[in-house]
Amino acid sequence: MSSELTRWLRLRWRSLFRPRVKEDELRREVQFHLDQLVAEKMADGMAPAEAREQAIKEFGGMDQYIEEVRDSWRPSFLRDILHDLRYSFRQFRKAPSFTLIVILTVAVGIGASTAIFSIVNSVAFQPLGYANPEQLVEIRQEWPDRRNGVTPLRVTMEELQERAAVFSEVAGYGSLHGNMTGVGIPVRVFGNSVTLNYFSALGVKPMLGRDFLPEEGIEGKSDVIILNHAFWRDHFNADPAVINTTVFINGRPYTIVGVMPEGFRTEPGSPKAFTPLVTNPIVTFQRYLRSVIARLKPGQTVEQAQAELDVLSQSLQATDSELWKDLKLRAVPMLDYQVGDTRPTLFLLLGAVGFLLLIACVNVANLLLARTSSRQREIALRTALGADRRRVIRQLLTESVFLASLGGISGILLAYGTMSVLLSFAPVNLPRVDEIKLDGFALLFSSLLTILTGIGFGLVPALQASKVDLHTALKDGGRTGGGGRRSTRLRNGLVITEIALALTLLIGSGLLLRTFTNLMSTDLGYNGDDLYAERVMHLPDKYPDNDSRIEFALRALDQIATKPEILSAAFSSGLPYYGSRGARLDIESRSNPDADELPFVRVVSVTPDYFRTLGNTLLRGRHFDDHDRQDGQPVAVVTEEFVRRHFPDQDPIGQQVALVENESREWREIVGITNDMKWTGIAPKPASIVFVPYVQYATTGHPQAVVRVRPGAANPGPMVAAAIQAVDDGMPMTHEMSHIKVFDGNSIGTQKFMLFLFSVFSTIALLLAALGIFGVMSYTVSQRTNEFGVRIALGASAGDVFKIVFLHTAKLVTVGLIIGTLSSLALTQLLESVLFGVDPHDLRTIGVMGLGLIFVSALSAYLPARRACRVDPMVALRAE
Amino acid sequence: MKSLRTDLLQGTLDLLILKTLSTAQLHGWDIAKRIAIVSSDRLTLKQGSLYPALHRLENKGLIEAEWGVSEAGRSAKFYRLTRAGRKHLAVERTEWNAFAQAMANVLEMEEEQ
Repeated sequence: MSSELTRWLRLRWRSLFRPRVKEDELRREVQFHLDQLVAEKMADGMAPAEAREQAIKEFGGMDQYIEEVRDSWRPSFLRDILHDLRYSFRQFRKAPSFTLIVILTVAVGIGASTAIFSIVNSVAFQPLGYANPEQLVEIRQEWPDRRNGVTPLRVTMEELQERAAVFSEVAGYGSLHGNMTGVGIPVRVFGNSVTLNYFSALGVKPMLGRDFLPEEGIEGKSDVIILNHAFWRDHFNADPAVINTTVFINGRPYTIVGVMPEGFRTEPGSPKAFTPLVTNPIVTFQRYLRSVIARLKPGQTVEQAQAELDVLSQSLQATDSELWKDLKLRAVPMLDYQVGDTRPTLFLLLGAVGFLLLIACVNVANLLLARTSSRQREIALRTALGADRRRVIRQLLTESVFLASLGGISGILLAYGTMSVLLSFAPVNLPRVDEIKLDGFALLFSSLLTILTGIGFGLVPALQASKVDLHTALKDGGRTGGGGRRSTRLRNGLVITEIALALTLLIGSGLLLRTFTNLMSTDLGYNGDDLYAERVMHLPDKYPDNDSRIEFALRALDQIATKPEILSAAFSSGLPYYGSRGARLDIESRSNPDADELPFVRVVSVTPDYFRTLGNTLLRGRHFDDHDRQDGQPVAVVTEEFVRRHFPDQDPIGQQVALVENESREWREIVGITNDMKWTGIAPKPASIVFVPYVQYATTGHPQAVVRVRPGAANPGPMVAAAIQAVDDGMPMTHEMSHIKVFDGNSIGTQKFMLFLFSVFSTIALLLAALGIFGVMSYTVSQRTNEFGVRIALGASAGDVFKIVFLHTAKLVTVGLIIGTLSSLALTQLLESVLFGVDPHDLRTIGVMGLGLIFVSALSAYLPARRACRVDPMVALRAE
Repeated sequence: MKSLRTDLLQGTLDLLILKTLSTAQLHGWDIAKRIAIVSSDRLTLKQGSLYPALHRLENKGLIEAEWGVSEAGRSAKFYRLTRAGRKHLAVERTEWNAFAQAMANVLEMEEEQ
């Protein structure tokens, strides 16, 4: 076998690449034969000249035979394919609109699926850019009930390092929030303060400069900073000379010692800079670790790590029951931690685009089927002229693969072209967006898809066409040849499939559309238009106590009030999207001395103009005013949600409540109920909040300044910075305040992205389904021309014929609608997590989309039906 | 005796070549001679047409070739059957016989009418 293979290869090799040698051999071979012939003639007594002449005559035309042999050397499959391609090309030129529609259909199907596949693959599956990323896990600590003020993760990390044998390294990071000055325009920095071994645990080295040194974890030596690549590029002009220069964060100097390589990330959203985490953290940095990561020793699995963590948390619970009670440690693979949340959304999109691709394939199959049937006569003729069945099938397959390839190439170009448009709609919380590209895998995937699609939709028509009964096909003149019961059933099935798939997509996008309008018309409890906010970074040594902070806030507000563009302004410890502190709530009328059993509420301290600035409405009682003084009667304003939860059957006004942060309980009177506010986004439930006067509550951390500007006015950042720096010229301020409206938009980014894609997909699906119905009905009409002719000749009216075609369509559409409704009832459940204010089985949406589809179907059946009732009986009958 | 019109029957030449090579390794000239001798000169052919057929059979893997030395001491290309060729010959021979038999039956019948 193998010797046969080598012989075959040698022959091909020689014929393809060494034609000269072969040709010489052939001439020598033929010459030998001629010489023998001449010698024989001469032996018979002929003269040499005559013998030669006779020999050549007997041999036949030497050049002709050599040419014939040469022909046989050319690999026949190549020759046939070239021939088939030429033939296909001629066929396509004869039917340009058919060709164009098929190519476009394939292009749209493959383009969309390549783009979506690229996004899903880049985001959810490509390994993270660390050394051996599969060894990295995120360690989560979980309590059934979050404990107030206790976050002993730092201790846990040391415990982990010592006691978990599966890990080779344990590292962690906390938050770094601040305003950076000394870089031209001041800029807000969200970054991480990391343990010294952090980068080495991830296995990533700075691209420029160096990693942190062991002594830099100690207070006094830790004023060094490593910049992330994008931040360095955008704010330091990618200047390598920044190493060893100094920047200020919240007024404190830091020496830049390194720049991380491009694409380095640690968590959803890329941090801009890294500082060392010191053992004794200072007040400007949030004190606690947000995250702990660990690297598994080679060969260890996540399951083994989890088993060890289980043992560890049990033994911790045994040693100190108060601190560790109910603690559970969990090891989550790093990739899951970083992209896990987005996976369901991405898979939904993949499913939707899969539907689209399916519709495209079905449509093309349908078109090819109809076309092949109408070419039955031609195929029969070719068979009669001696083409064997295999050859005909190959020709038809070549045509469809050729079409699919053209469509696939256009599709890949389409994906390239639309990727940036697509990504501009991507939600801001989509991780790894900068890593998304049409990668090799996606290209391979789409090419494979192309070829499979080609073979898939080429095969059925090809097999069917080649089985033609020669006699019937030639006699019928190809008119009724393809109208066999089986192929009609197949075509009807395809149309039904298309309608069902299209309806499912339509219902999905209908649900998303309703979700979107619901979200847009939701009362947020505030008005994000023209509302801007920024954190004010109190430097610890300048504002050591509460009084100094309060004094600063009041003076700053006086300054801001002098700016004409600003309608109102406030300071607060909490805003939508900015988060807020929590405290335990005690209610005097049913006081509970055990603080651990008290419920949590959000606590926000605000200056009097806070509610007016946000555009929040008072429902009952009063808001705060200047009479609520530091030494006056402590008061509180609560939200409706608070009332629903804590005073469902009581009038809350006049009730005494306490916010328990330490052991002390200061009772304050509820004086007002205010409109609910959406706190973390438009979709989540409104928050239960207790508002307290700014002057009556200890402010820790960094307050937010919030301002409302004249409608349409520019970003008030420079104005507010100037006003605040008029009070304290050392206060680090950026010139860009955050627009709350933008956060509103971002919070529904996922829904927007899905709505956009689903609308595009379902519109295309609808068009394709219409095209499919049109194609099949036109074909059916042309097949039944004789029948219609006979009917009309026998007295049927145009309306009767019209009705026949319409009823046929109606039957297909009805079955398609039933299947589509059933499948969407099963599938829209998957959308539930992104839907808002609409049931996944919303009958109205199903009804509206079904009606829309019926309308479009009727429209696309109209033309063929009209053609049917205009059949001229004489012409139709003569055509038989 | 009259020559038969062998060119009419497609595949006939291939079969003749395969049969001729079933007993020996031969070059083109020998093959032509043997066919002439065995068929008592009734199967004549344009000798040149042998070569496209030989190369076609070689491409199909039914025969294989190597350069050797002829009786006269000249270098010549010798052909021999491969295993596939031998199998093919057996099949073709059966079919050919069946065909010839069928043809004969039909022609006999017509004469009786």
